[in-house]
Amino acid sequence: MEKNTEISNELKAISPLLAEIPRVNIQSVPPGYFESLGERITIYSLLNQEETEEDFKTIEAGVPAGYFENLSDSILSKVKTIAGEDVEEDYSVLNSLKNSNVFHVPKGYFENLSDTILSKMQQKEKTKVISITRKTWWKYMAAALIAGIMLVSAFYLFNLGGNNVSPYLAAAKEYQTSTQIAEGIASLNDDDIISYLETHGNITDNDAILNNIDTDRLPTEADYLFDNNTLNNFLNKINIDYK
Amino acid sequence: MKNPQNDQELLESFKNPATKERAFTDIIKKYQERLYWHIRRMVVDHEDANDVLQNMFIKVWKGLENFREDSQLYTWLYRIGTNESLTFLSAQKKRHATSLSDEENGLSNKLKSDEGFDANKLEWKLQLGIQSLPEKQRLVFTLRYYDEMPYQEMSKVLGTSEGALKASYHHAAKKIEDFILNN
Repeated sequence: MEKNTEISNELKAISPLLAEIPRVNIQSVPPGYFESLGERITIYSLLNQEETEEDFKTIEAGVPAGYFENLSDSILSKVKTIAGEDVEEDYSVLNSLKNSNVFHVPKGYFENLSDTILSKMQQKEKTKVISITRKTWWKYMAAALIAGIMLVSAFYLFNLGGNNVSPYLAAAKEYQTSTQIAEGIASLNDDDIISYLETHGNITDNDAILNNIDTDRLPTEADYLFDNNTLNNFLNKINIDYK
Repeated sequence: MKNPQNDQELLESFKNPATKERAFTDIIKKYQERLYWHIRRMVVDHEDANDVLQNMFIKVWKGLENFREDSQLYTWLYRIGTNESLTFLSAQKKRHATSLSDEENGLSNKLKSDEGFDANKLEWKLQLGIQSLPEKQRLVFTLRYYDEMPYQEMSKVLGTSEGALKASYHHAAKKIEDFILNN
């Protein structure tokens, strides 16, 4: 086979010695091995361990004759075995029942189904719910935390009574209704919230963190094998600082 | 041509219960040789490669329904084949409780036990040089050298940046060259 020129030139630049070595597959099989059909090996060749092992014992290196020709059938039969399907079993009773349907379907149901689904999808699209993204969830947490502190402070201060009015009381009086609280939160900027959380906050709500991370995008087991920096890269990607 | 169907058609057929098995068979036939050799270069021994390849395709059967078609089928298959090979080698290492270098020597020994082995031939030296590489470099080198896989595709298979792959290939080629010159 002709080498890809770009790859060939690349190797020449790195190592002229390697580039000169013929790219032959020394473990390849004798000519005709892949083409010749192994008629004796049936669909159940791999299930019949004795026969398979016997066949393989005769070949010390390379690929047994007919290996590739029968591979797909062998794997398919294994898949069926794993799935609990036995291709040899007689399902004639079940087969005879296959075309009878006891379930009733309203007339014209299937004709209109696609239109119904499309129409429902369009409706859903219009009333699409905006989900809380990973980047904004902490803002909502911080806002909830501050709102909670305000309410608790206000509750205590108003129930204490007396003449000793602390400086907090004056502030708390400004947040007596939910509208006032909402306006108070809206007046805070991101820096104030971050600053507050850095001095008072302690985000340890694992459930909140887990609920806001898309587990489908977590690195796979193999990613860790391939790259030692996988975890760092992932954390950087989802914008979570760690120490 | 043996398998005129393209991947898209095969995937479509796989989704249809009536043609599912036929499509799966065609997918196996289309990719079996490429994947077999990719796996075999990693595990060296035929029977090990056969086990890994079969396990791999059984996983493909289970996972193909959920296959996201935004990635190429062959990239996905190579990724599964690679993972299965690495899992196999890792399990083998644990089983034999050997160190990494012992394991690598083990793979080299498997090569040396081949009846056609000739230590004086450059081709065999190249194979021994490849087996002397760490797993990841071995993967990168064989995918580039034998499978002629573009870095962009390899990046999807191995989950590593193209820059890192180029560097890895460069180091691998240099190490093999050194191995050949010093052995």
